[in-house]
Amino acid sequence: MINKSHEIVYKKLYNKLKSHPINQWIIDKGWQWFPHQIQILKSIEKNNSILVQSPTGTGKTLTGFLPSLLNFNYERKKPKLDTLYVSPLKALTIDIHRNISKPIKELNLSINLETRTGDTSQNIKSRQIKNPPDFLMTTPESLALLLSNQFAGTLFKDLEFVIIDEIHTFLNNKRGDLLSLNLARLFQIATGAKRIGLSATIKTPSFAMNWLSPDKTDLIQIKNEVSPNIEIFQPDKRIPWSGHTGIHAISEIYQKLLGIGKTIIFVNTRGQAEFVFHELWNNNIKKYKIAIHHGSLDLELRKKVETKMSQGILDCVVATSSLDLGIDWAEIDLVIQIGAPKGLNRLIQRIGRSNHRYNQPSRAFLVPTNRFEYLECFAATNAIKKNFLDDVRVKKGALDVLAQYVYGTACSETFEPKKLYNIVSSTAPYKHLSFENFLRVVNFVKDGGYALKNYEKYKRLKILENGQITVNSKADIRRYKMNIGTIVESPMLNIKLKNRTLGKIEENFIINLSIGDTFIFGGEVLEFQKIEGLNVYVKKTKNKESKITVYSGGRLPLSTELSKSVRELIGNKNYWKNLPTQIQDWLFYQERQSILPNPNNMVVEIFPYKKRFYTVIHSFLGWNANQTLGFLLLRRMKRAGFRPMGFSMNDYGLAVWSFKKPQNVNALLDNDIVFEEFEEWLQDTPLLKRLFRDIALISGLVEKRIPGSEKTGKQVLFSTDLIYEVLTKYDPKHILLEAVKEDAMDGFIDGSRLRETLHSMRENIEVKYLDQISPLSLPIILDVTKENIGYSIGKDDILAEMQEKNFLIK
Amino acid sequence: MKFYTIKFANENFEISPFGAIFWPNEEILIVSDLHLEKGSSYYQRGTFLPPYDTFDTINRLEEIIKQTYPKKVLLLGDTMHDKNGLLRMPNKMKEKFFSLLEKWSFVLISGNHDEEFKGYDLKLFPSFKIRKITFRHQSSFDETTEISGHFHPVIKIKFKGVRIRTPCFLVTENKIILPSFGTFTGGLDIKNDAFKDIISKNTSAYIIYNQQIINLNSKYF
Repeated sequence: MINKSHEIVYKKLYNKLKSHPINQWIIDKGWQWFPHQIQILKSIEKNNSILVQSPTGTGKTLTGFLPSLLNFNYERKKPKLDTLYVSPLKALTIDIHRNISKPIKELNLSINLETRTGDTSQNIKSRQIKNPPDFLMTTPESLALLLSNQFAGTLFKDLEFVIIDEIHTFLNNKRGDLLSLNLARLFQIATGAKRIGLSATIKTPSFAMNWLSPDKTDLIQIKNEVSPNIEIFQPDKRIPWSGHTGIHAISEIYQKLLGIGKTIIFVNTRGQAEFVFHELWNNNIKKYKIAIHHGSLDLELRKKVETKMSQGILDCVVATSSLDLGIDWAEIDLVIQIGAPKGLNRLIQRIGRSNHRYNQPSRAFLVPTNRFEYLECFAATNAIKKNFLDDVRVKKGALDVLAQYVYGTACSETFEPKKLYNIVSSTAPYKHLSFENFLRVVNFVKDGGYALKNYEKYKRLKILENGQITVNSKADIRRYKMNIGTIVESPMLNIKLKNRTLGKIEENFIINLSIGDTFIFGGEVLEFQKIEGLNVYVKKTKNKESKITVYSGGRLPLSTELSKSVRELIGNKNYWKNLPTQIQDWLFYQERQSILPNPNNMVVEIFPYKKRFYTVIHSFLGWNANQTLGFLLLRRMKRAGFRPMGFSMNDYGLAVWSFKKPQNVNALLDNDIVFEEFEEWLQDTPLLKRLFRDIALISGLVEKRIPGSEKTGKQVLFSTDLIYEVLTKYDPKHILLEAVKEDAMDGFIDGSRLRETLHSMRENIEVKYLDQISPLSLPIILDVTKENIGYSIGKDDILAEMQEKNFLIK
Repeated sequence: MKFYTIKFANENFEISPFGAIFWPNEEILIVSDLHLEKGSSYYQRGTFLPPYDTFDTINRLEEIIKQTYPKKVLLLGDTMHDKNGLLRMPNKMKEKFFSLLEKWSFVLISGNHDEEFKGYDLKLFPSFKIRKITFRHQSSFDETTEISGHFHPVIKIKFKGVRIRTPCFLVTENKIILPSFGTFTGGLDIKNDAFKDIISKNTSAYIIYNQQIINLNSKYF
């Protein structure tokens, strides 16, 4: 039902809404219209672009489709595409299709709605182009492919609405860059289409508004009036210093499931998901229906879980970020987060999964797995109460993505460089792109864009007499279509149990296993047998224990805002009273023995430990920036003669060990380190080579797939390391090397964040020399594992170390 | 860059971090698998690899020659990446390459592409014998004492979180297999089945790392 107040303000709309069958449907369900649902109908009359920002559980999707439903021409003669919906996940596309289908089916409306993703069959895809549905739900990659279709013009020209869901996930990554470019192209065709963006709550809505449209965008903001009900696990056992398994809390987590209804348990890595899932089943005396969902599992298995979720058959799902978004599993009663939240927005989004009902508090149970995570969970809870949010770090549009886009454009039409540049630079990510750099990217697509023009025989693009550019051959179109997208995964192998494929696993993980080693996958303990081609053969084992395995699944660094909240919590004793006694004691000891970090200082501790000197920097910079700082410090300390040996880090700090006691620490941490040592380090870090691999693939320099080669199973055909080395040697100004540096500063290396922090902290470095390890340093030292030690002092040192370990024969 | 001396067939051989072997008693330099114009062969098919590989390979070849002043240079096959490689090779580089061949009395052994020098006044040998040692492209896996190339052996090691992937020389009692010399030639992991007849307990691997030759302890491969 519509409230009285709305009735007066939106009389005209009210009549329209009231006369539409959907109104009765809402009434029959016992629901009522939300104010923002009326508001969007009003706004769409005047505006071409609208951003709806709302927390989960506020009927966001229906809001997005409301203008389409109400303005739909039910008397249409010819089929035409009316509304295009784009979401970041295939699964979400299917889920939204299911949700929007409900009223359409129940009301018998004559609207056809279909999905189009990588899983859609070729038959249906071709039919969709000849005879389009009214509403089409798709993903960025499928949209890119559609736009390269020769009939794209006809298909899209009469579009009325374009809905972009979860727009906040597109604001600062390559996938978003590509979508942004493709949308610019889409709106060149669909000149009359209105844009609707749907977003979770973000700190700076203008980023999303600018991203959605270069022109004016109206903002509809829905505030959540109710704070979530968050409980943090209070252990009676000892809280671990380090590690991330959560083993100390498994039985309590299981207890939480009793009589609660439906639960999602979120964890941070795939390995952790496997571990928790396995442990819960070992404890599952009540025979709850517990499932697992993560990105490495076979597609069919994941789909099965999703279907069972939507049918309400399951009691509990253990999931990674694969379920962060969207999938509407109504009636979730509790969200359990195991491990550090890492960011406020992510935690809010996850918590929001419980209770999809407006103005009812969500329920969450946080399970920190070690001491720093306790601090992080408490800090996050405090920050959420104060309505704090992480900000999005806006980055420049990636050049490799632009190359892919230029190639794609050439595959579907001839273009004039200046005109295409105008389209590209109308998008938010490429607003600052110069015409010169744009042309360099075009040249790269054309012939590689090398300084030395050696080979004239082959070109991917040809320039016509009138200056227009087009693709050289049909074969190129096929090649482009096979390699579309921006997600580059580390090589994945299929896990085979006899003839059954269980899923995919990172090659890097398997390589480190020996025959007979056991690991958990899909909740089963498996024994590694052999690798053949792209298959890993395993067998089941009766063993209940397995070698605990951590295989990566996206390591997210601590967000800047949450880092600040953690330092506030540590630095202010008034906040400590809710912390478990063990944690309070830990901080009291730190205060007595050393210095407490706070939002305005950077504490550095130096102490002897196991015949070495440890320099621990409590930077709270997040994993990536800490790693970078570690590499830079190694160089600088070596130069200063302190003989550093290596370092380890976590999100909160980093520890460098050396033979000599470091002096004059302020000079070591002077922010010129991000200029002087940085350039030098960039030259020989393997990290850049890894980034280059992605860039080479995304930009189309090398292809993952080449027509005809699918059967051989060979994927990347050429070592991108070799290309990288040759380019740095002979063509150091090449556009792809520029792309590597830009990427490095933004993501992996987090150079920008490091630079800013060192600059702002330069007057506030507090150095403390100690006789022994400090309480706050202990977890960082204990976190020294194989994976997070960086030895990059130079190849000499690696050799010396190898010599020592009898690796070499001299 | 320092050479590493090994004993093979009762002779001294010096392994260079450039990826070549020098035989001091005969003053012979041995190099394998240049794969010249590999970049352009990819380029032709639309993968735009940087066009600097031939230039780089020939320069490095010239440098190792200048370091050793050999009486003869043996090229153990696959000198060109494919049979049309010479047609694509820029004139300047072709001139330089041929002047090197002339000046330093090269012996060319044919690789998998016998036609690569068709039309040029060059003799290609299927194999070449000096004293007891046979030089050929691909090892015969019998009892003959041989030095060959073809396989592009590469070793992958993981040491304390550092991943090293490097070309290597494989040496057994009667065989030496050289790594590839060409700039764009990748390699085949010695764990691959192709190496199973070569690698035994008595195989030594010499890796190129940090511009040095290092003898890797056999329990690590």
